Amino acid sequence: MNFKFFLLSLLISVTIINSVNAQSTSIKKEKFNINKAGEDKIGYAQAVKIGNTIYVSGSVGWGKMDDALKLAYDELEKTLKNYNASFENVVKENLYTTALDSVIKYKDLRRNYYGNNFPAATWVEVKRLYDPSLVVEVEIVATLPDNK
Amino acid sequence: MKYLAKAFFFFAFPISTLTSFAQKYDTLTIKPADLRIKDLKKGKSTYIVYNKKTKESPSERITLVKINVESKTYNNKPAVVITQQWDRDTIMHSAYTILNANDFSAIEHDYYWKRLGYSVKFDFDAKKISFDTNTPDSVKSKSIEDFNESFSKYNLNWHSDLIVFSVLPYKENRVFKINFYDPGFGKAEENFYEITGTDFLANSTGEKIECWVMKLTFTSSVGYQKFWVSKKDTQVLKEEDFFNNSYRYKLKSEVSEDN
Repeated sequence: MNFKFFLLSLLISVTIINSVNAQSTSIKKEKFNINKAGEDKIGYAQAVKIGNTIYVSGSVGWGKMDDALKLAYDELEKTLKNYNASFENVVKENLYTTALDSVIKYKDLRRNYYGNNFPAATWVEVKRLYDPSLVVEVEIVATLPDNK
Repeated sequence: MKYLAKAFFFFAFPISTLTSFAQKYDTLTIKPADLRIKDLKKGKSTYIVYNKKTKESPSERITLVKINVESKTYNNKPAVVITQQWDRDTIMHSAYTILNANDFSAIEHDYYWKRLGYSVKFDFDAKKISFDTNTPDSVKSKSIEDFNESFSKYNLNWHSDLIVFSVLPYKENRVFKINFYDPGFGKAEENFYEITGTDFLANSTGEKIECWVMKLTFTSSVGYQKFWVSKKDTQVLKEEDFFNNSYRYKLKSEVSEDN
């Protein structure tokens, strides 16, 4: 009788512990896709929101650097709009390029998006991006106010 | 000897003709590396399209074709998006095409024709076609068969021919062999576009514009397509087609409707 009671108590304890662990490891990821089938094929989501923070995948550009920057920032803008956000909400930017001098030359184009409200930013020159003809990729992190 | 001379003339004539053709024309089978995609002109343009029974007849079925070419990205790849709209009192036809900017192969092609009454979307990335409910079954089966076959060989989007022609490497006495595919309207087929020479068109101020003249002669029926391509910026300024015993013209407008 005591042994049966012990086994039952053990089973209940294990169930409770598993349940608590499951609660603590599961997070609610709200994903946004521009082209879900294509993004699934490669293995990413255009953006993921957790709590009030939005993580936006690198948006890319090709061709002349001024055109390329516009392509990348336009796509970021489209993604932010999905969350009723704008570049004002961006707190961090990582920019990867195959031609950093060209980005520096056209750096003022970013003002069309950020105005003077720039985020913390890092720019890095890299050997190549996902497609060899891409010249720039920009990823951002944005934060929404508590009521959004 | 007499017979020998006759035989010599019989064989020599076509051989010499072929030799001179071979010397005269350089045939270039269009591959991705031949396309000057970096020089692609983006933006809006308008063509006036009309038919004529003879060259002297009045113009009929006057239509505006509005084309927009934009740089985009598609799943982390460089892309070119071409939108086309044919207006004649109403929207007669529209098409939306996404091309891979590395090689001009199609990623997506959607079309709508009012006279047909249906629209179709070809997804080359997913190898899938979406038909709307009005599409006849016969069109569906033929489109699927031709679409599946189109993957066997590099081809270019025939519906975007005016844009494709703007990135070709023009040269005197050249023939372009282009495998064109117009999704939903038959199989991909190789066509020979021959640069027949130079001609001049006049613009509204009387200025002469020097053009390449390029001709496609139909092999399966009587007819041709002729294109006047500006030497300065490789834009197609004029097209003259002859088929079904009548003419069709496309003239590029000097200005677009929008700024």
